[in-house]
Amino acid sequence: MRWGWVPAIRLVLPFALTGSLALAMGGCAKPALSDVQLATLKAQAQALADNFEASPADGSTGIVVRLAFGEEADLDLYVTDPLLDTVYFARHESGTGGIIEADVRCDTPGPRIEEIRFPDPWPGRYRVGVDHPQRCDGEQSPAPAAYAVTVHANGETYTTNGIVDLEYFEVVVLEFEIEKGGS
Amino acid sequence: MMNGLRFTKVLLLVGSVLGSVTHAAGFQGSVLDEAGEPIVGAMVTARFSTPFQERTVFTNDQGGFELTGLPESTDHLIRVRRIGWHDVRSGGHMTAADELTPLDFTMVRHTDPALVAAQLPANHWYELLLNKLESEHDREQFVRQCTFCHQQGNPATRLQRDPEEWSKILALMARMGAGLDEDLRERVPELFNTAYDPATAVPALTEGWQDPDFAPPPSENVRQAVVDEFQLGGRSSMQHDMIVHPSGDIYSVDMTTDTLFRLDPGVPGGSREWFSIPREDVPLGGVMGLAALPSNSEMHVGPHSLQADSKGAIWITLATGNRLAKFDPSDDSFTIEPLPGGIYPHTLRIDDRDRVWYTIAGSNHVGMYDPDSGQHETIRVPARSFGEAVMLRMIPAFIWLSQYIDLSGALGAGGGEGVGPVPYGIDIAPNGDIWFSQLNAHRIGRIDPETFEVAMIDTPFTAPRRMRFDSKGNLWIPGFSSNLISKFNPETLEFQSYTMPTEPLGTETPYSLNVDRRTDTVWICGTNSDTLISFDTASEVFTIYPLPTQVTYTRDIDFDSEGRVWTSNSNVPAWQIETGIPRVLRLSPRGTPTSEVSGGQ
Repeated sequence: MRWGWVPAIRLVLPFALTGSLALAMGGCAKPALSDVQLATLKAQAQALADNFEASPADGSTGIVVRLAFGEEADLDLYVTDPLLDTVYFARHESGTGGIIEADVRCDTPGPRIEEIRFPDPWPGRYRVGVDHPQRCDGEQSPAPAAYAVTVHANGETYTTNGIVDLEYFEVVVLEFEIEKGGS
Repeated sequence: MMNGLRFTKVLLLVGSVLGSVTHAAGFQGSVLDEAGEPIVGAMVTARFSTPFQERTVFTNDQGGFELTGLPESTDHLIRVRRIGWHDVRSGGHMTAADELTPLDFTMVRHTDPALVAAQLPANHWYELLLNKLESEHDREQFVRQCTFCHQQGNPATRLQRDPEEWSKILALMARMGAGLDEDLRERVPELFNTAYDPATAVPALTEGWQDPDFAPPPSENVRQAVVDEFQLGGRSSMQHDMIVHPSGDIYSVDMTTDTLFRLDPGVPGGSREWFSIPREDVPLGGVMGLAALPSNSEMHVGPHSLQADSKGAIWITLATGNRLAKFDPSDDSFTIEPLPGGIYPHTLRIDDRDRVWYTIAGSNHVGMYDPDSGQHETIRVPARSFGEAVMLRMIPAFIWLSQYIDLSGALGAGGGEGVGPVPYGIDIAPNGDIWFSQLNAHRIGRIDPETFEVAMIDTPFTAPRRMRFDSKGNLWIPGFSSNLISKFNPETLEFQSYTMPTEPLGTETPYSLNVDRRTDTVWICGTNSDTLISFDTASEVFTIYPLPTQVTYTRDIDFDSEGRVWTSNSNVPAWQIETGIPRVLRLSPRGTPTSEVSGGQ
């Protein structure tokens, strides 16, 4: 999470993105989050992580990566496999067999958990990212949203939680390794 | 300048130890159809080595081919390809020393037109989209904004999706820079879903597909050509630009992994070395923070463009690191040069005093750095309006302010006109003048190299991108969204434009061109059509050279001293490229090279 972030640039260039050049095009500056707001979001993120325990995924075989988030936002889960191929809402299946179960959007009823599975995972490094493309409650940027991520991989569990701004992609929230023949 | 930063090469001399190359080693044979008739213009490709090199030749009027200059006593995987026929793939073919091994193939016609449609280059599919746009404004905007990362060449880009999914994809693209007018953006989901509906798309693309003149073979002249492709990098790579170094080595910058590659094409299969460009303290995404990186990216400093100076040192723009890098091939060391101003150093050229000139795309500047004196100049170039000029001047204040106040609520959505004029291509005229383009402003500009005074000229076409001078002082400019190249005379200020010949007409997106100044032949990236295209400036005739790999997205061109044409495949994401891995490639227009290595011009 990058509080007080420096907006990047939106250009006709690969990966040159959102930002400063557009700043003068309209809108008002908003104050950064207060300590109370930040603490509230962190508590929400922790609660989402705790809720995973209440609804465990079937992770007995392969890899299951789950992203939990609230009704106020549409977040997207990205998992990049050892072939550097990524499964996400627009790439439903990767070359190593990773599959996204469903794209959880604003109109998706709860529990709001997006899930990507690798039934027969390849050994190597996996990267998990979280994007925040849109709000569901009409709030304006930065409108940070809380999330939690859990990974079940061949009997092991990895978890993390955090906060992500609107229109910001946390490319790496978690990385883990699957060894040949196991986790 | 920070001196003495030396970085160890990550890996040396990667490439299999293969037998030596003799011109006589290789394969010869024929490609016939099931009735025994010759198939003219089939592409016969031999793959060898790990990482691989692929060499491709075309069949002649009798269906015959000769694949020569291959490493002897080496296993080869052979692929034969012709639109309308099933690919033939065959492994385990061993070359012998000093002779051509016989090899004949029979090709089988496709019976399913959908499979034929899938063989067509991206521009054929793109025409289906363009045909649905009635307004020239929409068409131009759609081409300029929606085709600068990747083609529509991979089936994954042509899926029918529910409108909400399209909407999210477009929003993500907008955050990566591809902004469209609100109205057009709302229409795009239906546009894609109707254009790519197999029920209508396949018949439209394959009308007359069994006729002899469907996908005709290239001309006899073109069929003399040989294409060599060298695998370079990995599935997260973006081999943005490459150059032919005076030593004969090929250098390529991998923007998404912060890597400089060196390829020695003189070793069978090519030997590869790679060097991690110092990231210093630049975080993932760069100094400005990128809100939408590719998910598999390792880009911190984002090497983008490169050129060699007169002493052989290689200068690189680090676009997201906002600095320059110098690589010294004599000891494989990097020196990093911080920049005094501007945002997003982009394309770079070097003048005859070894001064480094580069466009600064984000903040509408052109930069100059003189390594001898240490002088930096950050030259502000004209904006399109007073308001835009004010906005651009306020960027540093916004950046400073954003440390304390969240300004992201002030972000605009961008739009079809793009945000900012975007200084893009740049070249040095024979008389020393500096010329650059402003992609979104549809202008070119001249900078006096001594006084740094700037003068702007509107182009009579849209999206001037990467341009070059010929030996006579004419400036050749590709119109990325206008399907043309144009010759500009800096003395008379006259433009003469030539429409790209790519079929279907109106579907090419020439990203870049370069001029072989020994012949003044203009070579153009057929970025949307898996081609390289030459233009003979004397006869004003185009020649189209098909390239063998589907989804070959090219952004720059260089030449070796034998007149061979080099480029890199930088489609991003790389997994959309056939085989999923980028390549640098060499087109030898006059046939099999007799010398694998020759320096840059």
